[in-house]
Amino acid sequence: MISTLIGKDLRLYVRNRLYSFLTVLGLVAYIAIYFLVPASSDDSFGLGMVVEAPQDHPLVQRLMQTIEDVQLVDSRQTLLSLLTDEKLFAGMVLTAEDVTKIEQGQPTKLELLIAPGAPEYLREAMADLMGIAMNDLSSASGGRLHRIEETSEVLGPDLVGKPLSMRQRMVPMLAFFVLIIEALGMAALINQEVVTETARALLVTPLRTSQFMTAKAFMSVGLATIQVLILLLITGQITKAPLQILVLVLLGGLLMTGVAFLIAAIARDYMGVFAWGFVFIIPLTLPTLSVVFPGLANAWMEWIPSFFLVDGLHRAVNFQVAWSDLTSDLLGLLATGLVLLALGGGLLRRRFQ
Amino acid sequence: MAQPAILAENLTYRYGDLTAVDHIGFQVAEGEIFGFLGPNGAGKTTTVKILTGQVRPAEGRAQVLGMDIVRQTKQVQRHIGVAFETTNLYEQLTAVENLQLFVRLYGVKDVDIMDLLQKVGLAGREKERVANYSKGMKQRLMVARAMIHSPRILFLDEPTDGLDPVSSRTIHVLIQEAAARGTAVFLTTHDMVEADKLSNRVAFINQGKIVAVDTPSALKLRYGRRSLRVEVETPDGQVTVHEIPLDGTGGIQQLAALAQQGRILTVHSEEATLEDIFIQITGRGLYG
Repeated sequence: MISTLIGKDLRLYVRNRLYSFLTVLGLVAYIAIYFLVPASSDDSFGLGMVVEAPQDHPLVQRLMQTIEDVQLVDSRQTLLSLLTDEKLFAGMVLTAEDVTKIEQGQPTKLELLIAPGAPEYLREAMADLMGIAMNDLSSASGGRLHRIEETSEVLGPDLVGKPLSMRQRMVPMLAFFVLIIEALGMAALINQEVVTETARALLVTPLRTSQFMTAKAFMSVGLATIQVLILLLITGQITKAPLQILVLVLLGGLLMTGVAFLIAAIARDYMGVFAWGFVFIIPLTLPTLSVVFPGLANAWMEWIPSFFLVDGLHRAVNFQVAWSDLTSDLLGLLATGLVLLALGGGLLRRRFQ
Repeated sequence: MAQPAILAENLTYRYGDLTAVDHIGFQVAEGEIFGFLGPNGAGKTTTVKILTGQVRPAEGRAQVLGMDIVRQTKQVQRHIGVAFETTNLYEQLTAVENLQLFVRLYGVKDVDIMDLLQKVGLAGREKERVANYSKGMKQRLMVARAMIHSPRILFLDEPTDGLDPVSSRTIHVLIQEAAARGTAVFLTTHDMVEADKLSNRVAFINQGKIVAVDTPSALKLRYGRRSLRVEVETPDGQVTVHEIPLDGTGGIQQLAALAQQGRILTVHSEEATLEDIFIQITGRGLYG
């Protein structure tokens, strides 16, 4: 019976020109977005410096080695212009007098220029960086500052020199959108069956409500998984951890099916599906933004069910991960997926009565 | 006595404070066409919903083919066919695809779909999407769908409502053929002519309560008034109409007296319709 219903739903899906068109259009658009977004990332500090001392001065040479990403600018005027245009985040003018003072270990007052749009944390970071660099130079040249031995440990994958591009960060978001749009489509299909009473016709046969919903779940998860896999295959993102990705997508499909059931149960008509759809889409999208823009991440976002999906996909697509690295994401996804499925399924069952 | 196909006892269903079906009871035998007559909102469709396992009664019980409809819903549904009041076909599928879907759901084999489509007058249009069908064609397909697995009971909810005479006649023939094969037919309608023509027995339902159950002829005998309608042309050329009651005595004498008054133009026997009787019992019309 379940396979009969899936066959029927597939046929209806293909014959519904709007759904078919939107499915293909969506997939093409997501793939296009992926390839349009830059493949590389600029991870320089955005720091500029005007050095009025001779460039071959040992202290200047050492400064350049200490701060590798510094961009040398020919004049104070040019530096101000670059900062005003926000082409650099911070800048400094190092006069010949400053160099002499540093060299002699004398108190030196340096001016740090900050771009207007630079956030507070970046201003502080730049000030600290410059302070450390200058003290380092001062110490090295005979100043009285104690040298501090520093050790550092990167928690998680070390991305120094190989930062994730925006494109890579967007992959989980694109996969998420395929799944949520598919969920909306499924909610609309189920709603249509309720409104046109075709579901009623099915359910006065030996078909059970549980079988009806199982067929819908298989159809929803299947269609969504195939689309996400196509997206990941074409963008070449499935190579690092294919099995982990497959399981994540399947569980993500399960989660979204729960969402689809909920929407279909609540919405009274076609418009209601889309209105309620947005109510679900907006909060579920937040965790995807935290992957694309890590600065936006907030602890409470980890409580949104879609977090487990996008976080897991982010790790599986962008880093070399083992199953153990994904345990919390997989369990979280499974648990929230089952809860939503039970809740949505329960409400939908009431709707059929 | 043979087990009834449907046995309803004290059935009650409420929508909030409204009692849609109010402690009703009746039996339907195998091969019987049971007309369930009542105006819109009388409780006909709710009764069908209870008997087909779509909703649970608040009180009472219903046995269908000897099985409890609440506890053995799916076993019952294997043996019943339902044609709903509203069209609920898959409009993007063809007639054949719609029927094939239900053939698979019922798990029946050796079904001649084309033969059935021929019977409902849809042969030749079977590969068209249902969305292109007229209302009559859709309704005929709904009846065909309800009969696809040769059910032992057919529930037909207003099967000819708003249909053209040809479609109605096709459905009437199908109903009579099914009953002749031993299928019990539970026919809800507010068309008293249809009920009178098809039903072995009818039940009148009004405001959730059954107010009368019997054969149409017995109801007419009990509640109706038979009479003769006579048109007489008097010698001065005037035409007068007279009604002579047939229940009681003196009818023949009255007719003879009229014949002496002038020339009898027409004589028609008249009997109460089911609608007349419904109005007489309930004080309201079937279309009210």
